[in-house]
Amino acid sequence: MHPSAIRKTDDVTGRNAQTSAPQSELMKEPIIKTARYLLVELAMYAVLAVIYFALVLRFLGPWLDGLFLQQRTYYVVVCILTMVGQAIALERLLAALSYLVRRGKK
Amino acid sequence: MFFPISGVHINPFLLGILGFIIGILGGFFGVGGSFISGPSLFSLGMPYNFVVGTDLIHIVGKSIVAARQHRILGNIDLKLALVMVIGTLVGSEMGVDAIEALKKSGAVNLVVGLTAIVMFAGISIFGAWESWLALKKHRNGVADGGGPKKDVLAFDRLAKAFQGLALAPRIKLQQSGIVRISMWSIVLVSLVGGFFSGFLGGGAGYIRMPAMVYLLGIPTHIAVGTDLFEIIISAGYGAARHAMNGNVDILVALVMHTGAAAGAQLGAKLTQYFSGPWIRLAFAPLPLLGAILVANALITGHHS
Repeated sequence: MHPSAIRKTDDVTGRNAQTSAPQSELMKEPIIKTARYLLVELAMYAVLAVIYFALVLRFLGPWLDGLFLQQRTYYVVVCILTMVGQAIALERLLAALSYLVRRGKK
Repeated sequence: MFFPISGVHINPFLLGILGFIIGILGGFFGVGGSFISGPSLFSLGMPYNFVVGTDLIHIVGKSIVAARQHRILGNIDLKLALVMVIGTLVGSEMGVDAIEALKKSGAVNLVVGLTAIVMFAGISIFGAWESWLALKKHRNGVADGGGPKKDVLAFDRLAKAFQGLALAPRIKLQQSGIVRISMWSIVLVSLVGGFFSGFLGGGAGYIRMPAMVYLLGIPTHIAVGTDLFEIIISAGYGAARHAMNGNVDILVALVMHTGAAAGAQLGAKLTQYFSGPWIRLAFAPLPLLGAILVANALITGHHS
């Protein structure tokens, strides 16, 4: 469903919602469906995230601690790179989960 | 779980949940959320110097996820963001210098605390009043519709004054729907935002996002997305400076960011279901919450 379809009924005026109640009723179902997809995505994501941060703390922890204490300049670079890398990776992971959940439901 | 860099024991699940909540706020309102994450990390036992730096680097990661989502939704004005970065970085340095000057006078906590309370409460009250009027104006049919991104401002005199400033160079902001605006207006607004970022801490999105809407006349959705993009650069700069001074625990930030990434994407997606005045009305209590936290710190003597 195109986002603009939902926008029309959620507009601040509420005009569409008032004048065409059946349309807003029709919109409820996709919103509930979207919420359900989001919950499934979040549950799958939470499991993967827990595994991920257990691995990060176990394997990267001592190395990062060593860098922090001995090579501060490298530590700064590693901090920025790991955070940017994680942000891009998690964003891709979330997009992939979203695609998989929606395709699975269809 | 033990985090060796900052030397604290923190439950990683709590960090993930905290990140998720802040992520939703960040994605939806375009703020860093440091007014919640700062006191929360401090109360979890983290030393305050680590709180500031760790929070900043986590904001970078969260803003990347949220900004990417806003980019897909067409909510980022790249030209505006790049001009704002200049003012933000300079303003941030000025804010830090002001703090250093106040430290010498010995009144830093009181002055910063009172400034924060006045700023936060002022933004909150004005934002609630204006967005309420904007919603009424829209309902009465004074302004025309056109979907949530067609923004309505009940108080646009300041925005008109800023846009009317005939000081070269003047630029066109196509994405924001602004035909001509002086670059100096944008730099001035970002300079003020940057100053408060350095002076009060955090990314200062709670000041910059409303300033973009009320002073520059940027539509709320674009202000949220553009602010997030701008935060990536300004918070990244701040985080690098703090990391150099040994104030960043990257492990805490990475764990927190696993929750924040999901929250930020959810928050960004939610913006498409709400119009500008509704987003501004929902945003209004947040700075007030910050004012209450600062007032509490001043009264109880815990200057976190």
